[in-house]
Amino acid sequence: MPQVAENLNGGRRAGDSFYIGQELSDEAMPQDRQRVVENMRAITDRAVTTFAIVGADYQGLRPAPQVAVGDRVRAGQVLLTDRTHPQVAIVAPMAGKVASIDHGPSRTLSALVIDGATSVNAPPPVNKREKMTRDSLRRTLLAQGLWPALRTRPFGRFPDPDRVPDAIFVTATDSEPLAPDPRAYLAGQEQAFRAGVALLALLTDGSVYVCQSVGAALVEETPRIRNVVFDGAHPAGLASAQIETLHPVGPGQEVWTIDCQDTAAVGRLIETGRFDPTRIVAVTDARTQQSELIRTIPGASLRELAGNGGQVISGSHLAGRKANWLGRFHRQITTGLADGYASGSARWWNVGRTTLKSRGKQRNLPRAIIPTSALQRALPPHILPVPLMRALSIGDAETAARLGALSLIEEDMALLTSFCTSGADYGVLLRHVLHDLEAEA
Amino acid sequence: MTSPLVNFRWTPANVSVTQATAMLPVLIAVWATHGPAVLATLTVALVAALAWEGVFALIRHRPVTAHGLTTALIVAIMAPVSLPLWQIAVAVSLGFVLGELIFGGRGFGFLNAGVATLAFLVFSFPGVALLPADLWVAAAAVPGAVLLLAVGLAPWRTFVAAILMVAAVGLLSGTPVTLTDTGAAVLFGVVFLACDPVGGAATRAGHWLYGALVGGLIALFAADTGPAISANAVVFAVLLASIFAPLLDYLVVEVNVRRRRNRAGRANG
Repeated sequence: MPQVAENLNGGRRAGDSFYIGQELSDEAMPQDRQRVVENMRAITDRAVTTFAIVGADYQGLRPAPQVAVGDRVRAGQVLLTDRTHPQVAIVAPMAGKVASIDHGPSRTLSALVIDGATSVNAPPPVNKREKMTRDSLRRTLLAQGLWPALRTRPFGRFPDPDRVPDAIFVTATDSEPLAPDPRAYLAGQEQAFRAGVALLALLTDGSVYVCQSVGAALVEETPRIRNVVFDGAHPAGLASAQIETLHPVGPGQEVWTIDCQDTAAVGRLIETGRFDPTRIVAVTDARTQQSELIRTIPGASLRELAGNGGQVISGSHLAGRKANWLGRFHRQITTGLADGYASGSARWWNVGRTTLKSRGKQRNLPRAIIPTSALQRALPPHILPVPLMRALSIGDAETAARLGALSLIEEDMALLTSFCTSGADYGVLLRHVLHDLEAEA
Repeated sequence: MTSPLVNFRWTPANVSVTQATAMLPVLIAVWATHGPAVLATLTVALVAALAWEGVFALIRHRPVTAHGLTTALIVAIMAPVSLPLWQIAVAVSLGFVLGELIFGGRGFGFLNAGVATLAFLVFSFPGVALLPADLWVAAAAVPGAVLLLAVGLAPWRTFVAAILMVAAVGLLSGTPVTLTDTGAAVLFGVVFLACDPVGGAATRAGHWLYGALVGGLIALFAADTGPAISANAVVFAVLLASIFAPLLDYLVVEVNVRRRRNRAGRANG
């Protein structure tokens, strides 16, 4: 395998570099393995009584509820389907009683809350098949609610069930601030993960890239399954940066991403027939910068998981959101932040100042974009930040698309939002532009 | 991004304040060299800038800012001390309004208001020679330069490209100028005028091109006036390069878009 060293942030600092096609060996990085083992010992199960399906996690979903308020639901039961693609199902991770279904603007889902959660009613096991085909795998993933674990570029939504992607990116990297190495999440389920990657290869005719940190190779390579190592400062661990490096999305193309734990869940579902909704997340205290790994379910009540006062963020303090429920794609819960903290445009250190200075119609005026050097490192390689920010801030969808907006989703904009002088939330601006582009397409 | 509790982010206001702080030692050096007349220039420039800032804030219903401070400092440091103060006031009014305020304020335009003011000064009143930067002024500019480059308020690519270009052209043309003199003459202008993030290019490749353009124009204009590089040459080089900066960025964007198309085609092919 040829050794190709590239640099994520313009080829200057060694610390930012990532290595593609680097030789991987089992004895690499013993201290990493040590860390993984230690972390694994520390994973605690954390049960919750209340959880929710959060609409914000399912971009582009037009929800058709399959249950009503007051219904008792089994674990694995279909709660919602998509109006456009009725095969796409969102299932209950645990049994319980539907407490409320809240809708957002224009019939989107705000949250579907279930309380009294128990896992007693185990779902019927999936029939273990000798040989999975693309169609049977697709049907199983759709029926078992694992399809929305896949997200597309462009647009960052769950894929069309009939689409065949040009490539699939498995994300086993995390460069968000204070995030643990995802190898910790995979410890003990390597077999299921490898099976999951092999199954994902059925869904595409292109490559499956297993993006991982420096260390032992996570999967065995085949012509279509590749280990790629990404190392370096944020955003090196984000799927968009990896896609931009290895397989930029051109017109008419589509690439899918999936998290490593969801990949393991796919493997487990097909190999053992066991439906396992649990995910490992890190609860990070922002003050002490210490993380604790817990096993819980997506949508779990954050108050129950980390309700020790103070602000709780689902996700990292950089890209996460103030929420009551753990996000479907979040691998971190950040606690210990001062009250009034909000990610995005209204950072807590600005709250007092804005209200003090701005009165009446002066409120919420965007400030100027001063192109400081930090902005140049905030986006994936080959995307020009300042021209893109200017296009996004005036809602120029066509220019934004030319500059690479189709490769990006909200999480990629968090650094820009925090570095930019304008105070604009570029995640929101990007989504507006993506909506326009999706409507045109 | 190491600590989640960092309670700092850049805003246009603290960018201006940082730039002004970086210029303070230079102001003191000019004051020490040319006497307290510098303070009169500063006061007049500041009053004119803040007055126009207030007028535009009223018209546009925006909060008053203190961005005029950096402009006033640049004028005080580079304008000749013997100039009648009304000329300073007229030049600041023209430069600040046309260079910055009509675009919506600092950061919305493409010119550095200080550069525009100095250019108006030279254009409008014949025989005005801007203060040449001597060694003391250059030495006083070093801490500010280090600060701005370190915190990312001056793109180092622009800085390096401009300095290298001046040096290269100087060496190639064989003008009898020592490197210290040349360096002293251009340091303040390159750091505080050319490397102002507002007036220059906004992409990495653009920084290199824009810096090289500034350096090349400085050398070109200096060749006209004599062996030593005059402050006028620096100001006009930055003014002209600033006007071309959006074009340079446009070219960088076009190359980027074309490359993206090719890479996407390759990955799929």
